[in-house]
Amino acid sequence: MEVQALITNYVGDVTARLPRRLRSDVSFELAALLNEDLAARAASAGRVADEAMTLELIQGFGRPAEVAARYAPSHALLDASDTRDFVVSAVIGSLLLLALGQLSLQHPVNDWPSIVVLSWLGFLVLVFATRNSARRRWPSLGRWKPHDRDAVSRGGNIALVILIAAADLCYGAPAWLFGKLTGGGHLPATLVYADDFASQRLPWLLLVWAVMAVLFVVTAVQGRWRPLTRRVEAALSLAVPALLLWFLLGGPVMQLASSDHVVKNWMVPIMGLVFADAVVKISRLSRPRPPQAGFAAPPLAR
Amino acid sequence: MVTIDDDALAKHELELRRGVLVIAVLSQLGQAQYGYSLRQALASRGMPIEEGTLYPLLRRLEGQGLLASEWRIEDGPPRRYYRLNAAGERMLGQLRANWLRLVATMNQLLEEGT
Repeated sequence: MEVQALITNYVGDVTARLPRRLRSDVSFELAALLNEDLAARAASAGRVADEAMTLELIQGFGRPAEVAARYAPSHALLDASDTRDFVVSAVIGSLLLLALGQLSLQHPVNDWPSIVVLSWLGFLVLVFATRNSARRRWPSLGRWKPHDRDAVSRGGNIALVILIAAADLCYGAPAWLFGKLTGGGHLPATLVYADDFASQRLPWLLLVWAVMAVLFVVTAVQGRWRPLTRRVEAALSLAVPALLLWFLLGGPVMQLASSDHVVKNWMVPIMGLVFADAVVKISRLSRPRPPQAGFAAPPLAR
Repeated sequence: MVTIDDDALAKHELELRRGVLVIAVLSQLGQAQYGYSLRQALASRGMPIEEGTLYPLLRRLEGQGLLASEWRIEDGPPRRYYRLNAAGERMLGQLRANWLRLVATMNQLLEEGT
């Protein structure tokens, strides 16, 4: 990877962890300082800065999360002094709860959302504790590794195009597909679209997916994401939740009311997920603004 | 003869340096400096500070209201210059007085101990 791309990616990883108002300013300052440090290293080594020299400088600078924490310190979720008490309470408490669970098997707990949430929190504690412990034991595990955000995985893009084509077929011509798969069978009534939906709203989603497929082909040919293709991707990503919202509010999706109810219940979380994905993509479009002479830095929290 | 554990020595020395980091940085910012020039100035006076520590520290001191900063675009790339403001000068004066007392105390302790 090129020297400037390495610095840009590293600075991006640091500033992505900072409050939004600081990102642009810190981004420019950090990139400028890394470039000056690199130039000094190259001069003292008597050669042009290369990838290995840049990586050495960056890895010596620190893990992006650590550097970001030095810029804008955050509160520790758990103080080091409380760690022992936490571990003892967690182990004893878990064993007690397991024992109580064995005794009350005849009254199984049905509150699965609470169980899933608590299990997830416990899983995160274990993963982060293991990761931190491994990093202390083997510091090389925490070293920043270069990655190229704009590189295109051609295989991945081809897989996405195939997936979109399959989705367009499944959603666009379900009766035809069902007939082909079952040797002439008729689509069950539970899977039949409402007429208005099939003729007026669904085609827009199929069209957006088709344009996405074209975009993935174009980027696979170009080999890299470019600012324009990134913007088109973000716009298409935002179009999908907008269409889903229209589907939700614009009348029945399925002919049978019971099917319509089930489909719309699933549509809500899917819309939330794709909207979140679109927001992330749009937020990544913003580029740091160059500083102006005499312009003071936005203040950090004290 | 008991040998000195190099790792332990390095850790204690690091702790010592960490304790004087802020006063060292403030002492050099009577005149405006940008991160790299400040690091060079400190290193040339026997106080090398890692880049990853110094650059965020400047921002934190600014956030604490001790430094003023501004971007300057001259011949080279844009650079953010920092300098002491009035509050920073007062803080440096107090830290300097405390430091001199601490040095005197430590000298006395070390002389008595040897």
